[in-house]
Amino acid sequence: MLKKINSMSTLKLIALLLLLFFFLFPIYWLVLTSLKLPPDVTSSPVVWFTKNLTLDNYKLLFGYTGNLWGAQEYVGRSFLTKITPYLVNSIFIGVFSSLIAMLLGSFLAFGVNQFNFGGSGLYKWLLSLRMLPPVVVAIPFFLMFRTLGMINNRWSLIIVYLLINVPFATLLLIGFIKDIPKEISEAALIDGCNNFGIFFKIISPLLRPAMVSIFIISFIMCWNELLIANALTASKAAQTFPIFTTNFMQVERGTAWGSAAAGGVIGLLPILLSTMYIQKYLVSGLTAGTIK
Amino acid sequence: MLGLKRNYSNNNYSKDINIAKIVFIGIPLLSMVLLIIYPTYYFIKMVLSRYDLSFMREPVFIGLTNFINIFSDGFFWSSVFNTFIIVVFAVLIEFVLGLCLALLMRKTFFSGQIIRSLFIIPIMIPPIIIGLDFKLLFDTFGPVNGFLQIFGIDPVNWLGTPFWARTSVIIADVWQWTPFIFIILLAGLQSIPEELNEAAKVDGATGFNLFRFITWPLLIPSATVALAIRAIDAVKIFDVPFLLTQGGPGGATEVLSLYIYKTTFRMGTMGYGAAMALIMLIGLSLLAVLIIKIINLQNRIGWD
Amino acid sequence: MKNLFYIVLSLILISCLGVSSIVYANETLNVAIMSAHGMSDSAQYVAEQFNKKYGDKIEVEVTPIGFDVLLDKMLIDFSTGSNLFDVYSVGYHWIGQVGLYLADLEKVKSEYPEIVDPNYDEEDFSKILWDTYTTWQGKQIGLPFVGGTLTLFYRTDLFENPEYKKAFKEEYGYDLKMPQLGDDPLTYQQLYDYAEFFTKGVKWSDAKQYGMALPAAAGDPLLSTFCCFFGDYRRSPEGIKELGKVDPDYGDYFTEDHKVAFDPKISDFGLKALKDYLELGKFSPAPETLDWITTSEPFSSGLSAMMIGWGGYWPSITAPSSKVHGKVGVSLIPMPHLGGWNVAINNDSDKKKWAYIYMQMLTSKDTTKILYKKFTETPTRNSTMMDNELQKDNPDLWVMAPSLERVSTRPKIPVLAKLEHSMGTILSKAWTGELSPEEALQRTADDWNRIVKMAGY
Repeated sequence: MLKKINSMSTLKLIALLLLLFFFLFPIYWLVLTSLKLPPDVTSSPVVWFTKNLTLDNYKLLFGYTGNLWGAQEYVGRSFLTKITPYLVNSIFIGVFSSLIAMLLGSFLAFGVNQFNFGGSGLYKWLLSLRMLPPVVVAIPFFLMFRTLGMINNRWSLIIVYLLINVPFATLLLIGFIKDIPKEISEAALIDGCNNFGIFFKIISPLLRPAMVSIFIISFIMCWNELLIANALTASKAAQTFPIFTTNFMQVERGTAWGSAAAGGVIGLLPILLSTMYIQKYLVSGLTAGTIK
Repeated sequence: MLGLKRNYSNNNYSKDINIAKIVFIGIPLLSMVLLIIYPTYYFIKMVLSRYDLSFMREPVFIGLTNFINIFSDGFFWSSVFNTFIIVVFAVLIEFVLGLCLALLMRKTFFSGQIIRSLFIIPIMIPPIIIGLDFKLLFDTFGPVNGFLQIFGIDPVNWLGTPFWARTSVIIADVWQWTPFIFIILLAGLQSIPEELNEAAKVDGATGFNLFRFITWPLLIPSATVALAIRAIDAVKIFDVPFLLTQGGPGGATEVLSLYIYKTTFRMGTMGYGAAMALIMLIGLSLLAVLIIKIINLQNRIGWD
Repeated sequence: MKNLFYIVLSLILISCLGVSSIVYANETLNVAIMSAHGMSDSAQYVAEQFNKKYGDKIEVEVTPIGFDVLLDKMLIDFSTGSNLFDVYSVGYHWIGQVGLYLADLEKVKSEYPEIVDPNYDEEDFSKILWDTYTTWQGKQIGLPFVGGTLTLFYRTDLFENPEYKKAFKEEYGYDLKMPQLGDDPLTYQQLYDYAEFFTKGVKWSDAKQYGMALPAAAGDPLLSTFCCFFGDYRRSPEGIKELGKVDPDYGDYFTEDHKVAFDPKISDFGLKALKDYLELGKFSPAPETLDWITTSEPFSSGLSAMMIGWGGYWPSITAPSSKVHGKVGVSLIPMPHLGGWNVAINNDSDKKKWAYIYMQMLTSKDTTKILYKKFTETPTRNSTMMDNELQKDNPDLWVMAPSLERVSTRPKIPVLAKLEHSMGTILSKAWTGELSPEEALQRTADDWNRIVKMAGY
């Protein structure tokens, strides 16, 4: 490894280090801010690092009502609602929407491949769904769910997110299904398997790693989504985690931004926990199967 | 061989195919179609109506008046302009940086797995948190200005000047999406056979020429895919400007999605907002068609 | 491995289902309050008192919502008839936009006369607060909850420093003094001189120093702070003569006959006020970045000698951990601007009786005193503002009542959101230099005329 480093010119090495620093610093800063005491968050000059760290910002998110930051009395701060209902909603919505998307996507991918259905028309249509701006989706769905009385309901979000997740799953899986040799399914047909059998017993197991990754990636996409969730929900019965973050937009910086950063760190968890697993499929998914 | 033997009669088989077709293709497609039809109906209705949430519970039909109003709406056109500027610069910078990273990391000591694992993180962080993070970073008393002061440069008013506010949004977008382009280009680079480079070097090609005549032409397929997808995705930008500047200062970072959102959900004029959303959709589709024509995407996939 | 995955997945699902289907034993009264400093804390505190008393029948649940999205949520709730919240804290300038959906409190009181508190004492509220916060088109739609005027905060240690006082007297010819209780408010000239003095006239800080932190960020800050400068002219005798009286629903920015008052074609007060505003901004760190929070920023870290902001920020600025703890005083700017919130009942609510009981509790005489003592959110009642005991213990209290005597207000009309957006986008170009002050002002006025016309007034 050292040999490789030496073989790079100094210029290149510096450039590489600078770029790596550029990508790592924001994450460091977010984590650090979440652990800082209020005066350090807002101070000038900048506090690059400090040993005075606290977990109080995280505690605040979960309903802690005791003394904060070593103070003995009430410290002027905003009353923060607990983050738990928002997290639960995000998990609930993410899990169900991704499951349904995974199911529908794999069905469709299998069907398209098995029966040579669709062609470029279908492909273009699915691709175009992926291009929909969230704001264009939010308006008609707001009206539709309003008529159905489903505003501020978790299922409305689960359904809306299908519009994004199903094309994603389908496009990704089609690429991988095509790679499965036709002989396998043909052999199964000879052995008396019907199409259902082929799907469940042969193809599914082969696609499992891809399917799990699709599930995780769809989950993360639901986890990240803000605009549609903001438009279709209004209270913590259904609001998701990103909306919780918007509570911090006009709040006292010193006392609340520590918790805002703490919330941000919590938001990083899904991707941090799953990155190694999904990295193989993510790029393929985002490029609609064009790059494997 | 006398043809493949099947364990059941032809009748059963074709019945089975039909059922299978209904289940595997029909159910997903039907769900998707349903999911689109009803909202589309509401959308069309809204685009031709006046619906002000503040004092109307039902929309009122007004024909094409919304569109006429849009053409004289200065805020709409400036939001289109803002979006254009931010997208063009962001995507360009992302491409250049992504390319540099790919070239630098080409012969790298880390496995492809680890690189991708690290670099997909910015892509998949909730964008609203990126907005929050960069709001902390770009604050007048924050670390970025702190860096500048170390080098003796005066602090910059990142979020309060139109130029710098747009730059902040661009930088945040660059942070999030450069890895996307990087990963694609890296894969493209690593698929270029080593022999080509060696052969060229033997012929005396060095550095820049090597890149220009060997590497770059072979990279074009990946590059075009990356740029195309990134360009279309970038137009939808919302979360970062929403949290970073709420469209300020003076509307400099009010991108199209943000203006439409504010018009619809904050000022309450939903019909007007829907009309703008329709225009955005049409614009985006035209852009996509243009791009697809240019790079002839579908041939690349070999779907047919 | 696979099996483990499915087991974990099922567990997650079940726990989500479980958590989400917790059935509440009682009914719940849903209250949405702006999530800033003392407001949601106060609401939560009173909720606890309420629950102690009525908890067996109904419980109050307070949800803090961020300022920027509160209006969005209200609109969604009202326009869909979803009845998501029974009680809202409504900024008074939004009243026009949502007024139709707020319950008529007179009707509630006549329907349930037994819940009306005889000691509530409406007279205890300053008339301007009562008129501004609680009425819309003849109905009573809210109770005053949190007041607030834009106030001047200043560094007592700097202004009382004998050396600086001497230097100031030499330079400007009059005493360096901040008005106290009973004095006249500052004049604009004094404000300007003080700001100039503490930026350039004397070195009081080792780092960069500013005389003032002046908010001018697009949106609410710009709309409100500019109103301080404009309102000063608007409510002067000349202003009243030229532009007529101020219509409470339309605020200082409109003439008596509902035209745009700062339009250069109508009078030159608008331009004068804008120039005053821009001039003062020279002594502040980038005003166009400063919203309410980021204005208290430079002041709390000791970078500026003065700041203009809502009185309610007092506790966070003067917290023990703050750099300027113990060195802060408040005073009256030439023309304060009124902010503030009421609490109102969602007309779709089926629990109006309980909502009114809660709101009454929240804003009663005793509660207001307690809430001020505990959370120092700006009170709306004279009994609290003029209480001698409280004034002794809280250096920020004395300025609240005097600042209500001559104060400017924002428009309450339904298109306020569009007006705010318009001014935020166009007028702020005068700050960034993209337009000259005359141009920015004229264009803003023209756009306001367009908006008002399109809405049909």
